[in-house]
Amino acid sequence: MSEGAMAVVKPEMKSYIWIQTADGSIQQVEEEVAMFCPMICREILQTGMGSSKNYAISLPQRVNPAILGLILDYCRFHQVPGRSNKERKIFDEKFIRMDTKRLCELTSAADSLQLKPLVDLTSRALARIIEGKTPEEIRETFHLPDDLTEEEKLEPLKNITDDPRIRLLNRLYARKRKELKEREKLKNVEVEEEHVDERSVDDLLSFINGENGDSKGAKTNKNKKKNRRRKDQPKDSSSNDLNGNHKELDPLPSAYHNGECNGIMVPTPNRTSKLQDSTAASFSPKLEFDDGDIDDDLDPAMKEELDREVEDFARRLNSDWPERMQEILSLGQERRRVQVTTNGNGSLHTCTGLDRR
Amino acid sequence: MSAKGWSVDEKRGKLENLNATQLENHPNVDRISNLPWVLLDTILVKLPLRDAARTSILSTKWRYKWTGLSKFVFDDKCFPSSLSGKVRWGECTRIINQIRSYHDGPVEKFKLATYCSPNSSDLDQWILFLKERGVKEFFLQDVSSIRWLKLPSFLFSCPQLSCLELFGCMCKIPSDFIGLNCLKSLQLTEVSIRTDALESLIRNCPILERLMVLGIERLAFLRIHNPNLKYLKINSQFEDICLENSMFLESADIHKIPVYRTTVAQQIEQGRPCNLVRVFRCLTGVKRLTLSGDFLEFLANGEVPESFRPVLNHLPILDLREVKFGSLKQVAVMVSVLRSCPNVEELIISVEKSYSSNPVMEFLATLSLARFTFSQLKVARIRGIVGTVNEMAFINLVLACSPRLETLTVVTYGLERIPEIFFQASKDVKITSLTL
Repeated sequence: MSEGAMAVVKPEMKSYIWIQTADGSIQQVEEEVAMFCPMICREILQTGMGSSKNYAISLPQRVNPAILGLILDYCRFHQVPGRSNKERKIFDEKFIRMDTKRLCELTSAADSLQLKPLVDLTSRALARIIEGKTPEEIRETFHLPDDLTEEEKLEPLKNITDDPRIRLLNRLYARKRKELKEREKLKNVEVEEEHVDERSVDDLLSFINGENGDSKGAKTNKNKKKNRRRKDQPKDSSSNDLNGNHKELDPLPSAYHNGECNGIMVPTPNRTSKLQDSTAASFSPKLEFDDGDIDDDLDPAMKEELDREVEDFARRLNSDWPERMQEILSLGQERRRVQVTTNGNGSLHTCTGLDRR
Repeated sequence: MSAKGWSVDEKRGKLENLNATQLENHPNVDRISNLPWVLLDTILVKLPLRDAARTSILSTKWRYKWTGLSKFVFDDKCFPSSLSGKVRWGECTRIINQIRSYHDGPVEKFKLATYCSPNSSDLDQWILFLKERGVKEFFLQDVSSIRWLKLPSFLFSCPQLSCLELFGCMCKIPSDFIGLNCLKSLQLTEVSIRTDALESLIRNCPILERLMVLGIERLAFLRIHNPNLKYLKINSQFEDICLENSMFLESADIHKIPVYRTTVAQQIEQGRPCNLVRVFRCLTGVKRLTLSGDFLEFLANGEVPESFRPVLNHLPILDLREVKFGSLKQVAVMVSVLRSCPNVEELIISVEKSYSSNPVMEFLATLSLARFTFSQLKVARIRGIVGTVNEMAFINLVLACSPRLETLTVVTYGLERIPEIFFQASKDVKITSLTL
C-alpha cells in the first residue's frame, strides 16, 4: 500500500466514543479527545461503555450540549502532544473569552468531568473578573440579587463564640449603624454615598468594604489616619528595639553587623561581599542613563547579550538581596521605611543600610 | 399562612419551569452563587483575601462564604500600605477571629506575608486552630522584628504539613518531636534555631525535597542527609557541613558566611579527607551547582588534590561566585572544582575584587603547561572583573584550553569596557565584552 493510500485510510480508522448528555442527545467523539476527560476515560476503561450508540456514556447533569461543545474544543486542542506552552496559553486566553454565565457553567461542567486544567483556567478567569471590583460591579456582572439592606451590609457577623473582641467589634458596628440612621434623617440631595468616614470603625469595615472607602473618603480622614500613624510609629520602632532605630538613623550603606553584634543584626540574607557592594555602588549610576544611549552603537547580538546580563543581574539582585535592591532604587528618593513586596520569593522586611564587610 | 405558602410554592414551580426552558438561555441568571462550594473555594482562594472577604456584602448567599475558605493569604494587598506593623497585626487578628468563629472545614494553607508585629498569644491560638484543621502549608514570611517572635513548638507537630516557611522567628522543636512525615519543602530564613534543633528537624523529615537555610547565624554544624532531597540552598553562617545520602540532589547552591569565633577546631583531623573531597562526594548527581566565596575557601581547607576521585559527571552548569583571583587558595580550589566537573557546558564566574598576586600567575602558568582542557565547555561568562593580570591570565587560559568554546561574555561593573582584542581567542569563539 502506498503512503498516499495510508494517509487516506488513516482518518477512517480513528475510533469514536459515544456519549450522551443529560437531555438525551447522543453524539460520537474522537476517542483521543474524549479520553482527555478523566471522567470519560475512567468510564471507558472501567466499564467498557461508549463503544456503541446503545452503550453511550452518560455525562453528568452539569454538562449541557452547548457546554459540551466548548469542552470538546478545549480537549481537541490540548490533547495534541507537542504543542508549545505559548501556543497553549494563547489558545486558553482566547478560549475563556465568554460571558460570565457561560464561564460559570463551563467551570461547573469541567469540574463534573474532573478536567482539572480547565477548572483551573476558568476559575482563574472568574477570579480575575471579581478581583478589584466593587460589590455593586460584582452584583451587576454576575446578576446577583442585591438582597442585603444598607444596614445589613454593615451588620456585624453573628456573635457565635462570644469572643470579647467580636463583642467590641459589634459595638463599633452599632455605632456605625446609629450614625447611618442619623444621616438618613439629615438626608439631602447631596447625600454622600460614602459611609466609611470614621476611623474607629474603619478597621474591619475597610477590610470588607474595600479600599474604595478610602478613595472616596474625605481628605481629612486621610490626615487623621496619618496623624495616628505618626503616633504609632515611635512606639512601633521602639518595640523593634535597635532594629527599628537602626533603619531610621542609618539609611546609608555604612555598617555591617554580622554575628558579633547580634542585637543589631540586620535582617538580610547575608549574601554579600565586597564585589557585590562595589557592583551595587556602581550599579546605581546605571539606573540613570536610559537604554537608548548605550544601545546606539551595539550590534544586535551584543545588545541581546547585554539585555541578558542586565536581566540576570536584576534577577540576582531580586532574589538574593532584595533589600539591597530597594536601597539602590530608593537612593535618590525620599527615605522612608519600605515594606514593599518585591516578588513572591521575599518581601522586604526592613530597610537597613547595605551590609558589608 | 397556607395561601402564602401556596403562592411561594407556585412561584417556585414557575421558576423551575422557567429554568428548564427559558432560563437556560437567559443571560441574567445568577450562576455563580449556586456553584458547588469546592468550585467557589477554588475561585475565591485565587483572589486577594481582601477581595474574598468583601464578597460577604454581595448578597445573603455570600454572607459567610469567605470565612470558609481553604486558604488564607495575608499579604500587602490586604492592607493599606500606611499601616504600622502593630495595627496591621491587629487587623490580622480581627480577621483571624472571624475565621475561627465561622470556619468549619479544613484549612490547607496559611500565609502571612505582610510586614506586621504578631503577638505570640494570638499567633499561638491561631496555629493551634490551623493544626486542628490539618494545615498543609504554613508560611510566615514577614515580621517586624527579627529573632524575637517565639513560635509555639506544636507547629512542628502538625502531622499533615507539607510545606513550611518561616521567617525571623525563634524556633523550638518539641522535646518529643516525632518528625514531619509529609514535609516536602522547608525554608528557614533569619530564624533563631540551635544547631541540634535544626539537625533534628532536618533529619526527621523523611521525604524532604527542598531545603533552604538562609541567614541563620552561628550554626556549628550543618548535617543534611535526606534521601529525597532535590534542591538545596544554603546561605548561612556555619562552621562545617556534612552532606550524606542525598542521591537525588539536582541543584545545590551553597554560600557560607564566615564564623569569626569558631567553636569547632578548624584544623583538619588526621586521616580526614579534605573538605572538597568530603562535600563533592555527595554531589555526584547534581545538575546545577553554585558555590560562593567563603565556601570555596572552606573547600580549600586541607590538602586540595589537583584532581580527585569524586567526579560530577552530570553537571552541565557551574556557577562560582565571589571568587578572588588574587587568592592562590581560591584559584587552586576553583581549578580543582573545574577539573572534577568534566562535562560542564556553561561556566559562570563572578569575580570579587582582589589584588593580583604573583603566586597565582605562577600557578596558572603551570596549568597551561599541563595541557589541561575544559573539553565540553561551550559558554563562559565571567562577571565583575576589573582587569587584573590574574583575571586576564585565567580568562586566556580558559580560551586556550576549551576547544569547544562558542561564546565568552566578560562583564565589568561600572568600569571601562575591556576591548575584545585583549583576549587571545580563536576565530570560532564569539567574545562579548560588556560593562554594566
